[in-house]
Amino acid sequence: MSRFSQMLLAGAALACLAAVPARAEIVIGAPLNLTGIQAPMDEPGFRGAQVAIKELNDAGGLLGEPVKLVTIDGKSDPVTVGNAAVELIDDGAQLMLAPCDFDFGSPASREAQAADLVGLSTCASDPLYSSWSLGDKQFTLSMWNTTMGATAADFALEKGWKKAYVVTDQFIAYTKSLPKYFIEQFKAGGGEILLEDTYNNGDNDFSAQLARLQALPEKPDVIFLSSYGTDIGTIIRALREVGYDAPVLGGDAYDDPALHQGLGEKFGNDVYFVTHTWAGPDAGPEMQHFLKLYQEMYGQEPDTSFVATGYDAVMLLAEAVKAAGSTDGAAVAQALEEGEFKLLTGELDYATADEGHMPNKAAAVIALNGGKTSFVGWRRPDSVPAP
Amino acid sequence: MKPGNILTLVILLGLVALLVLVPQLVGSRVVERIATALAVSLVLVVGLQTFTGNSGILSFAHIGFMGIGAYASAVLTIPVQMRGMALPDLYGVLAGIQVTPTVGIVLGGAVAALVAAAVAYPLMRLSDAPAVITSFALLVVIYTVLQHWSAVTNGPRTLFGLPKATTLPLTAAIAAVVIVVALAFKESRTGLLLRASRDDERAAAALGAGIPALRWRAFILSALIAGIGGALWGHFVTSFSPKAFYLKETFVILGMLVIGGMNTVTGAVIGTFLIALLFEGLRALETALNASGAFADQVVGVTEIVLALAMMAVMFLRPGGLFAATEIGPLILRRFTRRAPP
Repeated sequence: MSRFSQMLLAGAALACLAAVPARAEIVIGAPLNLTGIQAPMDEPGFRGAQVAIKELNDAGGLLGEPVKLVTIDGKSDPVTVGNAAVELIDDGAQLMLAPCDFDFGSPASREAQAADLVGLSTCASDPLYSSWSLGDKQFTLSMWNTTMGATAADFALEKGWKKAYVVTDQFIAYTKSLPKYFIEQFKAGGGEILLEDTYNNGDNDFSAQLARLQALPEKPDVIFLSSYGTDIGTIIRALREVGYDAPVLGGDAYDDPALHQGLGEKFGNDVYFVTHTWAGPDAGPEMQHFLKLYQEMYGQEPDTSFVATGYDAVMLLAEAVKAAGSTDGAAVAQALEEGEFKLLTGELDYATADEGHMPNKAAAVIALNGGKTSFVGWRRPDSVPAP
Repeated sequence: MKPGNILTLVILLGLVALLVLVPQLVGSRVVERIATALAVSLVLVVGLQTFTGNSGILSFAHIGFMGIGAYASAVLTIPVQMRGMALPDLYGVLAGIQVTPTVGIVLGGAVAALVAAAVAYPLMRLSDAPAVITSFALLVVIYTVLQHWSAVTNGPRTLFGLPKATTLPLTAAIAAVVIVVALAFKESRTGLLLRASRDDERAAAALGAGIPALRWRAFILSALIAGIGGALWGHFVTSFSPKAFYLKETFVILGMLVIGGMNTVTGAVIGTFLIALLFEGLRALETALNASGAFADQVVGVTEIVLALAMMAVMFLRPGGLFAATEIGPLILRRFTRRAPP
């Protein structure tokens, strides 16, 4: 018994130790997931955010006060993310950087909303991440999947591809919802869907789908393939091996150097995908500036473009705070709603709280040819399907 | 009731009372949240103990029933005006029904128990490894159904909009009831017979114990408690997706039970407290290390590594868990009587 009361005391004592007195500084609380399954999404964002904090402080801080990023590991557990968010708020966080993904980001945003603070998810792309479901001070930096699907459809139509074959991986919400938005936009723009088929992540066998595709009276102009991880490569290889050389189109799951290397010169041709940013050698001056700062801080090139989301998130909050002249939740939220922002991950303009804080955001279209990526351009759909 | 059992009950309920009192004294929102999460874990772990502890069969399906309870309560309690957004394809019959969260939590348990009653009977004939593997298979089935029954669960997408109803006093009260029920069940005729079958299946069967039926009753009780625990968890986090009710949660709950000692209710309670407080203590340490700026880089992973090593140490020193066979009450009484001169 005594051991357990000791445990209890030790836990309480440590919790008290963690409390840091507030000083004259602007504190951004970040209950990001640095361990667990969400770490590959949040950890790069965390690195990018630190680059932004350093840049802000080197330039004299924000509203004349230094900016501090306080991170408590959310451990890829929704309850722990919520606990960490409460700790951060109670320790004086004035702005909240919420983790990626609705499941893990929403506990942080919900606590921020309850404390009247602005919360911004670094890369949640589900349309659920809206002011409708989380409250009038909550935002996500990422474009919604609606924009991603719509941009892909617009790009196909722009290229004159009118007949599409669509494959939906039944794996997760992301892989299931993306084709839905693609099809809606593609049909609205006059396109025709020849066949919709499904696939299960991990099957590594595409022969049944190929048989159905080959039974079609005509060949598709474009193949929209929504899958995840290494399965994308497997399916593209299977298609190419039987002679389907129509362009393949997809979302940001394709934005993975390992996939491009895996497809190589032989199979990595005529593949296009919609993603958040372009960090190649011909990227704009802002991206070059960020890459230089990143290099200075970490001594190496970023291994993933997700680092840009963390940088953008902090810079976006900073711009809004500057415009608002304070860190007051309502004022910052209003500044975010009213402003037009030029970010590494595309131009961004939020809808009002009544419209869900829908991010009207530009998406980057990237081509893969000969196993090498190249930048096609920014695209911003005129209209997107309803979530 | 034997004095040992009364003492056990007093100590375990005292711990639950402490769980309510400490956050009030500390007055911190975080401590209250931690205590609430701990109380939910208590419900889940003690619920698992009622089946696994008494029958000796490790059940992986428990978290599946937790999921069923959470979803059942969600479908019945999400405000009707929010349903169009949260569950657009919900069947007409269900779409109009809305109950209060407390009723939803009870119904969540009832639905889990009904599902358990319907599917589990044939599985109860199996023992040892086949029983464990079939329970795991059952978890896979439940998980897959939750992930694909879009009309009711919103598929793999997050279901949101549950009213926040899980307060510390409510959860602690339910945890206290569950502890009483688990102890009572253990001492009941069914519990005694079941424990006999656990210790020697053939001998118990030869003496007339109808083992499948005994296990079935324990399994339903366990699923009922798991469903209630799941609904409590759901009303605590207020949004979740099926992946919350799968392997990770399974191993957390099993870890708590096995470390504490799965044969005793004391073990289930102490294991839950120990793992949860150790986790939070280490997490606070990690936060303090990062706040102090003692290291140039962010310290990560200390919690996971130390917790895993501690679990190994306990299993190495006490393979049966901290309370392997005897509840805490009789244990204390025995030590007391041993010390007294004859």
